[in-house]
Amino acid sequence: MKIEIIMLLGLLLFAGCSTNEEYRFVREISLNGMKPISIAIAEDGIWVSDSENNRVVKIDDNGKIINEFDGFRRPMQIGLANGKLYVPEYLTDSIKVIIDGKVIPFNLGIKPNSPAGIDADASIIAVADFYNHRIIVKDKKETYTFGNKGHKKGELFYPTDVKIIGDKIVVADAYNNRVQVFSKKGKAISVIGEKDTLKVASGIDADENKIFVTDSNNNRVLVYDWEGNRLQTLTQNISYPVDVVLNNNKLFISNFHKGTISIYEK
Amino acid sequence: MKNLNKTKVFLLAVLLTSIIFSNYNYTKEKTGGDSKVYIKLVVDGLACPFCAYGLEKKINTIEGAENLFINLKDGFVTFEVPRENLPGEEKLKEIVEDAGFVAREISFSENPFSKEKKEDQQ
Repeated sequence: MKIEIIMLLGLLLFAGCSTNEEYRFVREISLNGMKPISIAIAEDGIWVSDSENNRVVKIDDNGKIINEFDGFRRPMQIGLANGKLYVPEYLTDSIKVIIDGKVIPFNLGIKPNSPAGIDADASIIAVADFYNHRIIVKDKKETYTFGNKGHKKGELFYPTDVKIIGDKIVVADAYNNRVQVFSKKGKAISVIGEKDTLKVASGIDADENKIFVTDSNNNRVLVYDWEGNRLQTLTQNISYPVDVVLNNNKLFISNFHKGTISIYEK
Repeated sequence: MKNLNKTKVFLLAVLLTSIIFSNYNYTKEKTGGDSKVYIKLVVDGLACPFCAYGLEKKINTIEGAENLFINLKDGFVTFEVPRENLPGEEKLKEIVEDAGFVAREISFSENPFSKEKKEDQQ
């Protein structure tokens, strides 16, 4: 009898742990006609790049605009770091930064051809250089690039997003339909998602344990561990997702055509 | 007799010039002017914003191209160019291919295209 009780408790504990690892759909924020490309979570709201209307806005939890910056020319996958919002401007081949309510140009050092995505940490800034099929990295000493056009490991085909995590850079290798992990200096470490028939791997985020990728044309978000094992497939209330952001155990997913943000929670 | 013929030829020339000129003005008025041509590109795969805005960027390289409209949902782009800068079909195909697409349909018009797919299908 004792053994049975112990087994039952063990089973319940296991089930509890498993459930806890899964992300579940919580709610959806309507953006009132916007087509959100990208999102970034700030303390007082959610930044959204509304490319269709050439602006970047900050919204509250209900989708109401609380701050707005016009005049961008197709702002794409934005990145928030150290209180600065980095905005890659697709049509002007430039990067702009929103800081303290002002928009200022940022000199990357090397000119991209349609910068699609950006991320920064304390030491580097990385940019997905869409039409040059490469990543541009600016550190405190220099600006360098890695990757070139192709389909082999280490090569890229229209990259659209980057995420810096620890000593690695994760790249949404969009039209190779996969994610690639590089060292900060550009050494190709691993390829993720190649067997999962992704169709346009457009947006990514990651933490120390997981990598999240939007599979736009398949209307889903895939969750991987760093070894490339698929842990979960999210589909509920997801429609042409372009970006995914992890924040305090919540996933924020931009549904481009639908004009909403879906929120998942563990 | 000779003078009479000359007068007739002169009057006929004036009449013809007037007719041609008035027709030219009528056409100009009706089509909204002869200075612009409207172009529509139907492209597969335009749902992807990175691709659509990439195509926009390439179209912007056509001198004088303006009023560009992208219908992401139905997969087409419309814009207008000054007649003197009108690109040929081959050039447009090249622009579309540079952006990573294949143009399924290229149309030229003297009048603006509808921004809705439905009307264009009529």
